[in-house]
Amino acid sequence: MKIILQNLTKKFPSRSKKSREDVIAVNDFNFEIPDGKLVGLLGPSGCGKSTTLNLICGLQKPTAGKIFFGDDDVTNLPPENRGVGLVFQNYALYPHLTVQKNIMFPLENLKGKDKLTKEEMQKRALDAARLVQIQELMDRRPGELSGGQQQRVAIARALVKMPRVLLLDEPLSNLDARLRLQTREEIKRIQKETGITTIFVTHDQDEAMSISDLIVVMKEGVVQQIGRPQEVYDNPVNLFVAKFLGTPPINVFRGTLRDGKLFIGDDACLDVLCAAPQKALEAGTRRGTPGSDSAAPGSSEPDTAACDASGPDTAARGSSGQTTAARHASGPDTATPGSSGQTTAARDVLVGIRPEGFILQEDGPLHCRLDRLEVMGRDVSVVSTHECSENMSIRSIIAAESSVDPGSKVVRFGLKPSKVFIFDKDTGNRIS
Amino acid sequence: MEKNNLKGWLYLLPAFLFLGAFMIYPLIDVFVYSFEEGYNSASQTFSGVGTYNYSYVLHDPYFLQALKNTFILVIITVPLSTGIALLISVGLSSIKPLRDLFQTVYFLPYVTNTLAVGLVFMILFKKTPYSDGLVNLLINCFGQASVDFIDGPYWAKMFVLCFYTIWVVMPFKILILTSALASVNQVYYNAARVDGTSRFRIFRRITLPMISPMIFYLVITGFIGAFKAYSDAVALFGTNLNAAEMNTIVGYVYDMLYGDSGGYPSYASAAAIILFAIVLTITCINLLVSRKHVHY
Repeated sequence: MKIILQNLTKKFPSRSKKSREDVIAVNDFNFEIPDGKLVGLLGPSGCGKSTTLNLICGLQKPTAGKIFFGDDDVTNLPPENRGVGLVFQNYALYPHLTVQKNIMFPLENLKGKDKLTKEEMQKRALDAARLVQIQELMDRRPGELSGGQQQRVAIARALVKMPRVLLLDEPLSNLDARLRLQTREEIKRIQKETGITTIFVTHDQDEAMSISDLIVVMKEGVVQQIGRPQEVYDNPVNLFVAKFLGTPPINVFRGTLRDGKLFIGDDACLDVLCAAPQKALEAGTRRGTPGSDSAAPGSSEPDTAACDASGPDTAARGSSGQTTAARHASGPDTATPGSSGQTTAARDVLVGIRPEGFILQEDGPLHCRLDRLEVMGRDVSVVSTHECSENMSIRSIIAAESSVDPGSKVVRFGLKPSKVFIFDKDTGNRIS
Repeated sequence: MEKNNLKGWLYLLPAFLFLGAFMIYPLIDVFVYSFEEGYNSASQTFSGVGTYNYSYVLHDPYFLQALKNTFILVIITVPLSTGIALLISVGLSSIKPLRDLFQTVYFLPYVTNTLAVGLVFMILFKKTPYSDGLVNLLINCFGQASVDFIDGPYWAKMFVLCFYTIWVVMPFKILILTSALASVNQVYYNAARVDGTSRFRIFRRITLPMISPMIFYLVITGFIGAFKAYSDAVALFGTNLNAAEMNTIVGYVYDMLYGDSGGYPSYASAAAIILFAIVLTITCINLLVSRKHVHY
């Protein structure tokens, strides 16, 4: 079942006496979730993920906008008529009922022609229990189950009425680390087996990236970016998305764009203009990928939209220095500092470099003060500092076989252009 | 270890002394009294040991009347007061505006002086030379003849007693049940709503089981409280309850000890032990039933 959200907005009346302004939990959402996909709503806590989920399932009514399941407008339907299964964060299993009765509960509500006999209900419940592999726990009460088992029961209860859409609210947050890994595989498997369009909410980027077909990154009620996990990771539209995805997190530096080169401190690290156009173009197209044409996610946020809508040329609107740099960029082959002929004004930017974007080089351009090495076995993480770094320390991951002298004071890196993102200093929007 | 034990007992001693002197000894004493035949309180002597006291009490028409009254009172007031309190609590928790006001209004009887309550009931039910009481005015409105609720037929007096009892115990039950309802996690209702559960089914399958421990508590204390009813009857019908046919078991015990026909501690003890046995049996039955229907 395809899900389309159109200009979806949810405001809560303000509780505080000081400000009369409403709290906007979900701000003008537009996106389309293709049929049969597993979608992760990702964002820090308080960004409106759960509200979005509640709007989709119908527990809350949107202030404005529409929700479509396929071609049906379900905006004003009560939850029971939408055909959604919802798994709550704390599972909400009825403690006084056995597992079997819990799973059968939604079926017992069916009326009229959908009414099932007791045998049919038991069979359906058993089928659902088999799917999540809890069939031997049917006579227990929720209090006698472990967290992971309760989670499965909750999923079985959501699946038993064969919903068109399965919604999971922070499905893994109440589980311990090992169980979390296991359960997320399980969710992926169940989703694949049933083919039900599934949306889950999480604040854990690992979780979202690992199992989602599509992730929706949110911040303060606004969609930041939608795309396949790898695409979003490789091409974040702004600093927020770049920082939110990836462990260890991205390293952020204060840098300067001057003469077609990216300077971090006094080190001219990268020939920006060579790397820029292709990537920026990707950034432009990426927006369209998640859904189909009807969803226009970019429109949700004016500045990202500007950055994204038509690639690099409009990306830097409002900054004269950058406009020239961008025009440069359109001709990748000729983009050497000399050929441009113009001396453009220096522009302060923020530079994000993924930990894996560093290459250990004897004569690398970026000089960092070596702090320590952390050996992981599979690779080595080099912890260093730089006066232009926004973070306390820079973490770069290099191959285990590369040799760094732990005693040396300075470590020099080259950079992989595809792992370096340049953001506007003020708006945080991606420049290249 | 030995020393610590001694200290522990020392700390417990005051409590043991008081409990022993004022609870356990009287309990045993009542039990002993009830088997002493022909006890004379003046000379503190008795003629023999046996079950004559019990057979006397069980054949006393006043006691049988009291037993009947008490049972009617219990059977009518406990389910009715709990049920009505539950309805009112559910109503209270499903309204937003004025909830505090209503909660206060419903709680008022609990803090109202007994004499004031008695006065209110007099205005409602008592026949005076000037008026037949408010309730009778209402009855007259429907074209029926007045009923004397205080000195009239048995059913009318029983009605007033039950009405009064329910009215008096209601506030506490509402208080307990509203807080029990408020403590049910909203997420269960959301889950049920997503599954399309009807309101009645939500109440029966989710709300009731979730607050069943509190309901059970109210039923048990309600039973015990109703079996011990006495002062309410006195407030309504005066001290000569036997004459009014409105005596209760506790009232009978009191009369045997101190009433006009007083001075029979043996009979009083036997009646008290019978009451104890009844309450114990009912509570045990309650506990057995609760095992199946109460979910902690």
